[in-house]
Parts: sequence; C-alpha cells; structure tokens
Amino acid sequence: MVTVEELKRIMCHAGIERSIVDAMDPAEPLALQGLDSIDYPVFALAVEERFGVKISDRDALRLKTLDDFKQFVEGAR
Amino acid sequence: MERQEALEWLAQEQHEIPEGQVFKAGLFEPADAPGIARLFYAVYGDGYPIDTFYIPDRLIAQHRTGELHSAVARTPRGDIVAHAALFRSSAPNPHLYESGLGLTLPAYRTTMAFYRAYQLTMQLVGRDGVDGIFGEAVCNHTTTQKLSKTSRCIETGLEPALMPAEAYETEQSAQGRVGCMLYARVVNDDRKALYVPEGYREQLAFMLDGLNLDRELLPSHLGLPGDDGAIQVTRFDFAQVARCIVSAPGAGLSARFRDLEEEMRRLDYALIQVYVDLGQPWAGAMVALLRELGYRLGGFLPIWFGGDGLLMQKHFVDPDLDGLKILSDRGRRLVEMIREDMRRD
Repeated sequence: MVTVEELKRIMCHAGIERSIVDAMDPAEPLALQGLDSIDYPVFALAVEERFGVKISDRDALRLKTLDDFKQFVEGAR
Repeated sequence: MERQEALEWLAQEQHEIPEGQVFKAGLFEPADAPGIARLFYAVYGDGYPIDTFYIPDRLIAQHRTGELHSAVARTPRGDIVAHAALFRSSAPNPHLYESGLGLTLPAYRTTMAFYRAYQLTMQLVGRDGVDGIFGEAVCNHTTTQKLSKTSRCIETGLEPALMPAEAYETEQSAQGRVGCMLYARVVNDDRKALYVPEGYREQLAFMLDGLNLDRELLPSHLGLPGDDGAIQVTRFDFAQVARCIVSAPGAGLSARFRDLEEEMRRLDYALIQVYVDLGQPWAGAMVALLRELGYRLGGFLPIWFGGDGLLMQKHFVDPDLDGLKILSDRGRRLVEMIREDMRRD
C-alpha cells in the first residue's frame, strides 16, 4: 500500500519546496501546483528508485497527479 | 531573417501544439530549428534576449560552427516540446561549454521531456569538441542541484546572490536574490600547471578533489608588472552582475577595478565577478590585489581559460549564505569555505 504522505515525503527528499508539497492536493495536476520540468523528473526518478518500478515516458504522460502516481505504483508492484 | 521578422512570423502562424503527444529525445537536426524557435516564443513570448533562438537559420548556423549543441524532445509530427543545450558562454576556452537553455512547453512540464533532452546533451561531453562542461544550479531549492548530480558534475564554486528573484518568479520560491552552485565536469584534458595563490592551497585541493585532473601545483610568486593592465568587462544588466577577465596583468588594475566598482554601485549592480587564470605565474599577485580590494573566493573553474580559472567576487548586496538551500555535504563544505574566506582579512 502506497500512501500519498509517503509520496510527499519522497517529493521533499527530492528537493521540492516543502511549502509546495505541504499544500499539495493529491487529486489536482502537479503542473498546477508548482511542479516544473525539473521537479517532475527528479520526483519520478525518486519514485522509481524507492519502489523499484519503471516509469516510461509514455507512462509519465498519464501521471499527472499524486493520486495517479499512487495508483501506478500500486499497480506496478 | 532578423529578430523582428522572425517575431512577426511566429506571431502570425499561431502554431498549436496538442497536449499529450508522445515524444522522443534527439540531438539537433536542422529541421528542428523552426520548432525550437516556436518553443522559445511559446515560453518567453517576444522577450527572450538572444535573437538566435527566434531565427531558425541562425540556430542552424550556430550548430554548424559548434557554438551550440542542442537536444530536443520531438513529437512524431515534428513539434519540439523541450530543449536543452551545451553552449559557449562566459568561458574563453571554446571547448568548455555551459549546460543550460532548458526550456519546456508548459503543457509538457510534468513529463520526462526536458530530462530526456538534458540526458542526451550529457552524452556529448567528451566528443564534438566538448572537453568539459559547467553549470549553475539555483540554491533557492535543491532539485536543479540534484539534476546536476545526475550528469556526474561536481560542485566547484558558489555564486551567492547571483540572480534577481524576478528570474524565477514562476517558481514562487525565490525572495530577494538567488544564489547558484557552480558544477563542473571535464572529460578531455591533459597535465597542466596550476599556480596556487597564497592562502588558497587548501581550498583548491578541496575543489580539485573528484575532478580527476592532472595538475602540477606550483607556488605563484611572480609579481604584477608595473603596467596599467587590462580587463574585459561583460555586463549583465538584467542580473545586475559584471563579469571580468584579466586580459593583461598590471599593478594599475587596482585603479581600474575601483573605477569599475564605483560605476557598478552607481548602477545598482549586485556584484562583480573576476576570473583569474591560474595557468599564469602572476595569478597569485592578481588574487592578492583583488583580496586587497575586498574580493573573495567564489570557486574553481577547470579549463576555463584552457588553463584553470579562479573565481573571485565582491558583493554590493547581502550574499545571504544562510538562506541557501544546499543538497550535498560537498556543497555545504563549499559554502563554509566561502563564508570563512569572506571573514578572513
């Protein structure tokens, strides 16, 4: 079971501003909540490493929210 | 085609790029040039300061001459949704490139597009005339520093308060000015003399560690000639930063730097940076002159001139070292080194 809180911790560890992470709504697009083109891949790579999953570029096109990441990781494990 | 004509073309064609297209990263091909111009226009409107990025023919020419090595994320219909590049910038050595010019179409920011293009540029290091690279990673957060780490670059310097916060207004995370960590990586190199300025042996040893460079460390005892000397000054009005290279050493440079400083203060500049060639036996005397004028250590710039460079800098604003967000232990040690040097008489 992957939690949104765990994903948020990974985000903080990846260097994304804590205030952005704390305020994050898991159902809303990350792009509308302050993540940029560097934050996103750094987060995605950290998720790959933490959960031992592979996120292809095509997968990433669909992973727009924290909830999407949660479902993807649970499905891939 | 000139800038104005290019901007009119970009405004008139109203090229739409659909969201959610698959993409593939590739090195620059001439057919990408119009797409890169569209990308810069989509992100910056008509406000990007460098004409080349709006003018496809110039983009092609700069790739031909080796000024620029771009990688892009390209969709099947040829749209360019992200760009990264190695380019010649401040360094006099034409084989040392800066890593940057990262740009992503807003609809593709939360994809892997930029990262894939960036990764491809890293494959150019060591070939196509790229002997080494350097980059400046912002320190108002640590994600860019993390990205620099993925390219096997290491920290070699710190530029506190380098950029105005307005440069990062979309990130909403910058207040005041933003400092940058300098990263570097050199692949093609040969043994070189490195003249160590007095008082900087320990710092240089730390900054050299991990770069895998073969250097003959020599004491730098030669004095400056009594001439006026000469510096080349490049001003960055937007950043309020002046960068100088010592083109001819001379004791008269004290007066030259004082004049420059007075002028920069009048123009509300934030700092002056000076690059000293450590491949020259007068490097130590030049650094001593700069220290007397209040300049302090910024960092080590491998192969900056062909020989290595030492960055010295003087701030007219608070460098705000305590506000920097630093990713690594090495980076934190560098910050402390720069802080110690600022305190040292």
